[in-house]
Amino acid sequence: MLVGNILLGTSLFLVGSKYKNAGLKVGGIMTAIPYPLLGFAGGAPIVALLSMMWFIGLVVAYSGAAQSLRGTIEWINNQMLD
Amino acid sequence: MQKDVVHLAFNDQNPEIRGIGNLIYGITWIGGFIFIAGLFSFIFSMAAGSSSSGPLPPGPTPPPPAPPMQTLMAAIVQSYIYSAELLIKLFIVLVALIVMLIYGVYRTYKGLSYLGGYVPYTGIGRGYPRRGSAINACREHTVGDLALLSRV
Repeated sequence: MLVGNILLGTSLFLVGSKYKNAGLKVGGIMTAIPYPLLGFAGGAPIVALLSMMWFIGLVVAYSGAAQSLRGTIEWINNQMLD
Repeated sequence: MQKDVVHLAFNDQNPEIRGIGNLIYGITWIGGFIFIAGLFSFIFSMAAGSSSSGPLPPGPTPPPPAPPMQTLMAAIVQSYIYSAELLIKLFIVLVALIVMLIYGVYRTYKGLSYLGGYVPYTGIGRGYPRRGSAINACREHTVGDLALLSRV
């Protein structure tokens, strides 16, 4: 799960940098951070709570991707009008 | 409205819109999996931490309980039935979580494949040329269904 989240966060960050979308970039960075390793000394409940930060990162990435989707549709519309 | 946009983006003709739609959907499923798994692990870890084990504190021992009305065999069977029901419920939750994760990873992979220009198992982007070629320039300006819909 750690490795998968790092890969997913990195790819989200790269997609965000391609589309110049801050939400996707921030969400990708938040998803790629290995939170359970940071709270390893705090015990199992702390690790479980910290892993919920991945969820927050994915929510941020979701909102950024939805914004990017709307932007892409708008861009195509502008290209059609030109 | 946003949900409709995401669902319509699955089958859009523009690979970019299709890719972002699949990516959003995959992120949603993976996020749901992480939320539920984190919640369960937090609850279980709190329950495991609060349970105490060890010798009884010193003091007067309580009187022995009244003799049970049921036989030993009936008690064993009841406990087995209770454990089996609990295990079946946990198994169903586990299977649902695994299905959520696999579906989310599949959608995310598909979305990233569309965005990366390589689309397996579908016809739309197979042999998708690299940036700069004439065919690619035509495809990049393919008008998606969503763009057409939003113009109406």
